Amino acid sequence: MALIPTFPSFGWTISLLQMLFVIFLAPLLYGWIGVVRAILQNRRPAGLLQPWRNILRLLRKETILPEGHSYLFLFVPPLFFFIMAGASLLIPFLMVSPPLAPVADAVTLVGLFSLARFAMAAAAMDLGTPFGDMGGRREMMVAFLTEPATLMILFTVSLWSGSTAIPSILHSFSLGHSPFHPSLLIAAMAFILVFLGENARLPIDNPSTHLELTMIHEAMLLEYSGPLLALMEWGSMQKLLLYLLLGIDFFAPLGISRGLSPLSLLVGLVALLGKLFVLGAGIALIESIFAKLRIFRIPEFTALAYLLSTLGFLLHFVLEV
Amino acid sequence: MTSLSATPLFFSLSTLLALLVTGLAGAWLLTRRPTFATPIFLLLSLETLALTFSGLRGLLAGSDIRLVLPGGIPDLFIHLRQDPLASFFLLLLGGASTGVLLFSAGYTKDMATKRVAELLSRTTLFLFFTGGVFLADDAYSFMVFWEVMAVASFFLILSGDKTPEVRRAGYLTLLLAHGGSLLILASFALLSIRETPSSIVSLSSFSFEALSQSHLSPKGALLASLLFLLGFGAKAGLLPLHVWLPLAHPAAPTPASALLSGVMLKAAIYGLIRALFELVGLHQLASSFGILLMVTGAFMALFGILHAILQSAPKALLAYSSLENIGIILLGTGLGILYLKTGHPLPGTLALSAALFHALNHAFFKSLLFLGAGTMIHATGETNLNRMGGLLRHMPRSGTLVLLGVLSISGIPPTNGFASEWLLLQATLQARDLSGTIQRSSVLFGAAILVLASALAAMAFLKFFGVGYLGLPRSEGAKAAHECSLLEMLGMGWLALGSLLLGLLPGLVLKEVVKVVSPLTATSLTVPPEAYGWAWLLPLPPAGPSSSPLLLLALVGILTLPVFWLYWGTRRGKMRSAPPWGCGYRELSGRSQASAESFAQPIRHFFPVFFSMKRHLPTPEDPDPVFDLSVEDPHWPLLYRPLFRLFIALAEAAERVRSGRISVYLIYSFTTLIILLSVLRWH
Repeated sequence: MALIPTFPSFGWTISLLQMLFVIFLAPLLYGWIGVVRAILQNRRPAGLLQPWRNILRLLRKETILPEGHSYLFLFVPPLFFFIMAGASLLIPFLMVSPPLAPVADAVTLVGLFSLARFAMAAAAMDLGTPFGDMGGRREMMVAFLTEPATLMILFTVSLWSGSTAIPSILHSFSLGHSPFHPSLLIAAMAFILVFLGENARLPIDNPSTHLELTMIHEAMLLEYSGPLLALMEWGSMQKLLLYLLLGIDFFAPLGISRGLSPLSLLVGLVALLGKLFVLGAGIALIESIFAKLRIFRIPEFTALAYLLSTLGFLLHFVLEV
Repeated sequence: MTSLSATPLFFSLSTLLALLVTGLAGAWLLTRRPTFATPIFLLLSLETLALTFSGLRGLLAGSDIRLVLPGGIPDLFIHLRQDPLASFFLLLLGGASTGVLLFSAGYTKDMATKRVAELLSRTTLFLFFTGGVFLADDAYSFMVFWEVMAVASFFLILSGDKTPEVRRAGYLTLLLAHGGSLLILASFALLSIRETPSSIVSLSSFSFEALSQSHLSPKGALLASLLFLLGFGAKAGLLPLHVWLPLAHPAAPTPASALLSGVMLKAAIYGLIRALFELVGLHQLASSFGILLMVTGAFMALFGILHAILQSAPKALLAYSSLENIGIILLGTGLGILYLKTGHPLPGTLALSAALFHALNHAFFKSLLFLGAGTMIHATGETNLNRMGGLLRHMPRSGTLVLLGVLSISGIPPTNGFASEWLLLQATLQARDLSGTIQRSSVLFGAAILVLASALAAMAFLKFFGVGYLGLPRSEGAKAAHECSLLEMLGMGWLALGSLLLGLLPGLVLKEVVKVVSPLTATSLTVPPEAYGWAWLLPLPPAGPSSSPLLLLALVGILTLPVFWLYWGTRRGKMRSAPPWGCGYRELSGRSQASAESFAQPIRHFFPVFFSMKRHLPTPEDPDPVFDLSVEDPHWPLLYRPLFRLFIALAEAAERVRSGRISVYLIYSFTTLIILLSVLRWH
């Protein structure tokens, strides 16, 4: 057993496991949120595996290409999917420092998500259908405040380590000081708002809507079908999981494996699954309590996230240094 | 002289002269042989390529060479110097103009010979004198080069359409440029004041070396730096002296717009950095000036990008986005000054390097985008995004190049815009080392606005690309669009390649930029950036944050491309094609799409203070309802128009003393003489 950590590619194996974890568990998390939502709304849940069934079904289906598409339409779904899958190699969650973590610090990671968003919005505008245009535009309208808010949250949590590298942030949190700082609390609140906005959840966007006029995320996918649609949906599920993992890293890192010993990895994995279990239920609760905001109110919501995150940053200087 | 002739300075000088001669002779030749336009432009682009390499050589060697040439007036010599800062900006000038000139070789094909000749001579004049600005090493020759550059830019703008708007834009440019020059001159004069009365102010004391020896009081130094900021700011589009820029850059012909935005704004940045760090000198700068510069830059970035989102003409959108980028550069410069003055050389060097890196990046991607906008306008015959659309299908190659520029300017990895903004953000994060609430919160403000502006830029450029290149054509012109010529594509390709390389090899670029910054700040990064390998951005010591756009691209590429090729390459032909679903609405047309204004609407509502809006909403009883909305830069109604009215009123009041009778005028002269004499006596 003691030999395993010295095995040079062990870190890479864990990295690969992280990627598989994100790719294959993301639909399950989605399913879990759906199950809790259904229970809270007195419906019979469709089951934990429903998103998986949807994906497999879409993958078997035929792709219908809309006339007049450009190469963006075809290229974006795999790009979006693999940006998310690739990001799972960069974010530490099973181990503190994956071998690829130096490739992207937290700011680069946000940039990567921004690339995914831009690509998706551009693909939605490719055909010139009114709803596609609308979706792409609204996505940017949400993002122009959530993206800076995300960055400000990252800056706040990186103030302890002085570095935006995620492993150093995690490391600085393990160095004794308790994570109950006012600035972190505010940042965590902002993160919840950003999370809901970025992942097209209520009250910003209704993931299960069937009314095109109110859609944001779904409107961008209206022209996709078959495996292409599967890649987009699956990628979005991964994005949700990745955001949760980032949140866990910054605000609830307790239990993450510091070394590479199998026992601590196992403990970390169990802790992580437990946190995701709770957080998934929390999302379902939020979605059951709140109604969708009017589209014109969305900038107010995201502005609140931006102001809170900036306030968190400021509070650190005022109260904690 | 053998040693001198081998230096980069000599090489740059001869290249610039060759450029001037080729351009002027070419313009003359063109009037006789109109077909020579393409080879002349190709030759010019080769010469600017040589200039690029001359700058690069000077930068790589870190050479610092001075040269004194006899001038026209006795006792007045032309001091020239190519130090790393000048080399860097020569590289920028050469790199951007090579692409633009290559593009011009194809672009001018359908133009009337006279106008091609005009454009040719003015462009080369502009390039020569801008190069001169970078090389000048005394106040006198600097001002000569600077003024001729300003005049050349005025004529470049006028080589566009002969309309009153263009003339007005050109006039405004000239006005503000000359106002700025006066301020620069005043600041030079301030610096030349010596405390020791024995030394006679000779013309040689206006060399930059002599000026940098000045000892000013803190207030004097602040005044000098403010004058420099306003003077150079007038040419860089500093708020509120920016009003000429969004009018002038779109008015010029496409290659000229690209040069004005890509190169001339950088000449102003160069002047500011040279003046602040060398002439006033870091030891005399105040940290409060750094804060001022930073806050102004942040505000300017936000202002610029918000107005950019509102523009429906592609060139106007790009012009406003130039304000954003200049704002980012000024923010970095101010941050650098603040850190350096408070004893934090490492983040200071980083911030300043990020600012210069961004200037280089902006020269490449903004020129690329202006050229792209030119091809859009040329291909469709329309100047408004609302009349374009679907261009990517007709222009897939140039459209892809534009897409690259769009990603770069939006600061999305792995492009160069991302690399420089990343560095700047890392510099702002070192704010915890600062003491003092004002300093910290101003850096915090800068960081918050910087990320906001960057996210808004993505929105503005999704509008640019999405409305222009995606969707369905919105006019007959857009339906009949055609791909641009090979030479135009080559020019854009050169700029795109430059952007790409700057983004993928940021470590190498940073290493050279630090060489430029170190002599200015008298510090260096403790660990040279390339120590960790060329593919990495790792500016701070090993535990610090790192990023590698190249590896990131490789990672996403390795994952994505096989799936793309294997899956879609084999199946694409077999996939069924159908009309877009559009939620059951089959009659898709260009008019059922979102317009360019729909992007602007939420921004207008959310940031009303940045705009001066006039809206007319028809009442229900209105028999002839018209909805009307006009949005304007608030500087016009709040500052400029009242100012103009004031001047006119003053001029009319002054008119009263003019009676037209010679006896009255003689009394005026006599009284003036008496007053002057009495002042002299009293003194």
